[in-house]
Amino acid sequence: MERRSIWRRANAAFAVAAMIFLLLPSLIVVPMSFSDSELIIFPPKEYSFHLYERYVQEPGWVSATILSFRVALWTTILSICLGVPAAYALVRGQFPGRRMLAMFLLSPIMLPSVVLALAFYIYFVRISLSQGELRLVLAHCVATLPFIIVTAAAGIQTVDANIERAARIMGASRVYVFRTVTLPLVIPSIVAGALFAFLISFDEIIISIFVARAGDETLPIKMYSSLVFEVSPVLAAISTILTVMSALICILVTFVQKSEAKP
Amino acid sequence: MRPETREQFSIAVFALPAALFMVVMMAVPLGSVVWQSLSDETGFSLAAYVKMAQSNLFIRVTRTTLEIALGATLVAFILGYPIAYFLSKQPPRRQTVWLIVILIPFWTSSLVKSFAFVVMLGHAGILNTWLGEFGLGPYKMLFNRIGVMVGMSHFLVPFMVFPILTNLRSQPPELAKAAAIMGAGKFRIFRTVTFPLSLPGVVSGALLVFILALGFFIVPKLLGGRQDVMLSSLVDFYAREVFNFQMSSAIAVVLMATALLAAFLLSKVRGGASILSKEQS
Amino acid sequence: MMDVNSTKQEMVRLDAVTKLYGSFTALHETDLSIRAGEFLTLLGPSGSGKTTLLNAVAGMTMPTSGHVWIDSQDVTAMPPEKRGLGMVFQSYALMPHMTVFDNIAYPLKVRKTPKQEIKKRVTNVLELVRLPDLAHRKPKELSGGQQQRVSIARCLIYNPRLILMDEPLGALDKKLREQMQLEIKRLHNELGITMVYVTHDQEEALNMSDRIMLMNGGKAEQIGSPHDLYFKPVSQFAADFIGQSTMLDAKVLEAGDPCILDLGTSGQCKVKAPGANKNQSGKLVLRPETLRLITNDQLPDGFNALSVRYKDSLVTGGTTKYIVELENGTEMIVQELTTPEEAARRHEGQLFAAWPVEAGIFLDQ
Repeated sequence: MERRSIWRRANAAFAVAAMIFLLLPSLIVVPMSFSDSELIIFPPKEYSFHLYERYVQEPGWVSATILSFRVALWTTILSICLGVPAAYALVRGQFPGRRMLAMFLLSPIMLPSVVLALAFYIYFVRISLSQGELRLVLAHCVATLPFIIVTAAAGIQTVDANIERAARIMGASRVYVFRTVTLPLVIPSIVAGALFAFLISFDEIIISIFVARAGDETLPIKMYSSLVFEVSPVLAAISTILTVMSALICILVTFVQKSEAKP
Repeated sequence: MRPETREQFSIAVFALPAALFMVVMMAVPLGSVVWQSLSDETGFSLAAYVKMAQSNLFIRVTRTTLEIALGATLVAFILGYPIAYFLSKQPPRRQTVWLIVILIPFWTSSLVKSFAFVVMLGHAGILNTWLGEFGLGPYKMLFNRIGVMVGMSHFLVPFMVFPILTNLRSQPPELAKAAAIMGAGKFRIFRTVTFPLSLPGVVSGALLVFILALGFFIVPKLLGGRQDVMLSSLVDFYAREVFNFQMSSAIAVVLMATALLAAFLLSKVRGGASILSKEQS
Repeated sequence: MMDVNSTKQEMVRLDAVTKLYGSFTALHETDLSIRAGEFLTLLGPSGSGKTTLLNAVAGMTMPTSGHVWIDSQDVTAMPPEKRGLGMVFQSYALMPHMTVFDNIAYPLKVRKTPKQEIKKRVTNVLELVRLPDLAHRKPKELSGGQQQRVSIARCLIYNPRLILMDEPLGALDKKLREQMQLEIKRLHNELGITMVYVTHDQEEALNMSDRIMLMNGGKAEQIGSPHDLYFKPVSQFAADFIGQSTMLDAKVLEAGDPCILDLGTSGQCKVKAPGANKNQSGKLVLRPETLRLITNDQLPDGFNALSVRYKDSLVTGGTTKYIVELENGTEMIVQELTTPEEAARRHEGQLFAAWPVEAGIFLDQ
């Protein structure tokens, strides 16, 4: 039995305290959302579903949720269609400029959101793209594509390249091999990437503020307005819903990654 | 060798749709921002940059931005390293559980966090009410630097944890064991073996966090006060309230340049994993 | 007068093929001709260029210069899937998400073969590799040897004109490896498909091949039958790499038939070395089986003999290896059949290591 040094214990205590700090917001909003009061108080004096009722009844919240959901769904689908093949090219390819291409495709991670947001704002005016949802989907896709590429690439790396080589020698074309060999083995990574891309798009605020048209409010935009102008207790209910969604996705992804076939 | 290039081209083609998309949807718009920063109604003009270099407002805001970004990076490190170290010492099964604990705040919406901090740090908020029971306070922790720091650090800690944790996990356990056999105490082992080896992870995390902090927009706006205006807020102000696109583009270009510089430094850090291929670490 | 071999069809031809990676030469200019139905092994240490050569035939690597012909077709510019070959890898390369049946059926599905025919052919080939009941298992449920057999079955099912094997038995333990060597040989004999086999294990090469091409540093060192490579190595590397041998420093005293070699303090001997010149330095190579240990009074004619001291012996069942020492300390390895009486005599009296003159091989420095 290893003697735990005083340092380790102290560090562990500090680390746990820090992690509690990290979880605090998520933990607080949940009981608050069941408060039966118009005031924002913690801990709540009485409990009810009152705030959730308000969420459903007050105009705008549910429609904002549906819009966010739709945009996130299309963003995820588009990112996957673009990103998974790109990941394949980056992992298996050896063409000149591959590194540059990788840096280029992943660059949105390195850019501050406001810069991208402004760029889209100006650009959409310039090309006269006014269709609200399309603007959001295209803009969100730029932000989510790097995540999809990274997770898909990680998955493709676990597939033995010799399996693909063997399939090619047996007469299969590159596309056929990608479809029948690579893809089935990479599905867990793609699912994980897709879940995160969905979450990123659903929660996206900065780019959305710049890109959304006057009538199109995503859920984060409506929340932002509320926080800036008048903090509504309904936010507790919405926050709880979002937190539960995030937590579910994190747990789902962990399980999906564990079930990935290990060669 | 023409057949060889044809072979490589047939793989590269897989990336074509994504590449085209990014050119159209990212490269061109960003180029447009740069161009916009250099032109007004009369044509080419450096007016925006001149103004940025000279105006007090900009100098102040830039200084605030750097202060906050560096401060948040430091706090993220102070909180994040112990967490990463703690996680790295957990047995594998428990590690997964703890990782979910870290992942949840990582993936929580910044608006949810902001709302929670407004509730926690407000004048009549949770913290002040609790402190009031001991006869302390109330302290002003919201709409000032404290609020911003708390909010930003909270957001950034997970980004610091991951690179450090990856590095710590990849350190061969034999190194620490060998040092222990040679008589080194736990703290010495940490100071002379573990920590130095973890520096690439720390630098990666710090650069990443710094880049993120530069672009912060929501947290300073919702949790900070008038002394805590950051450059990103100015971009918003000039673009959507004053409609001075040249100005906002210029600020955006400065932010972009700083972020790209930090990203370039990040790519030079040895010991960072490459997504391109395992053989090329 | 017709050469008997030219009536046999040529299946693979390499014409001045080289492969460079930047300034590094993985394969120097190489010519090679492989007959149809032949079992050719590319043998050599790592980095010898054998895998590079195999990949050039497979189409996985494009040669820097030269041409590759398969069945009289110039395939140098052709991608692998059009070359009509089969390939077996050391890591088996089976699709983990498919059953054994689907793995083997894959090339037929690529060729859009009808379902009924697929079923029939897969069943047949499973019989051929002696795995009739495993069709519905997944690869991870099979042992290494079984996986390799599935991998081979997957090759055979579409009747490729050529099968390439890249160290296929490297991941198996010794006993299994020997079993699989016999399996592969059996399949080769039954089906008569041309096979090109890569290995670094010289015993494996000697066991299985019709011809062996020994490679070293990107160049072909020697090509010939196992017998040629074993008993007539053309270089010190070849003599050293294949089998065990005794190598003694030698200098030509007198050229001719037979040559007389000066072995320094150990003495002199005769050797058949038609191309040797007077005063040429080199090595005398002797295979253990060609040596015998005798005592003084049994010195036969037509034999060379050197005075040695007994050092050690290793009895491996039916044969015994004796390590004996020359005057100058150089060791010689002598291999003889184990017999009971002579065991005792080894320890007494003057010993000589003797060998027939024709068995000695003189190699240039």
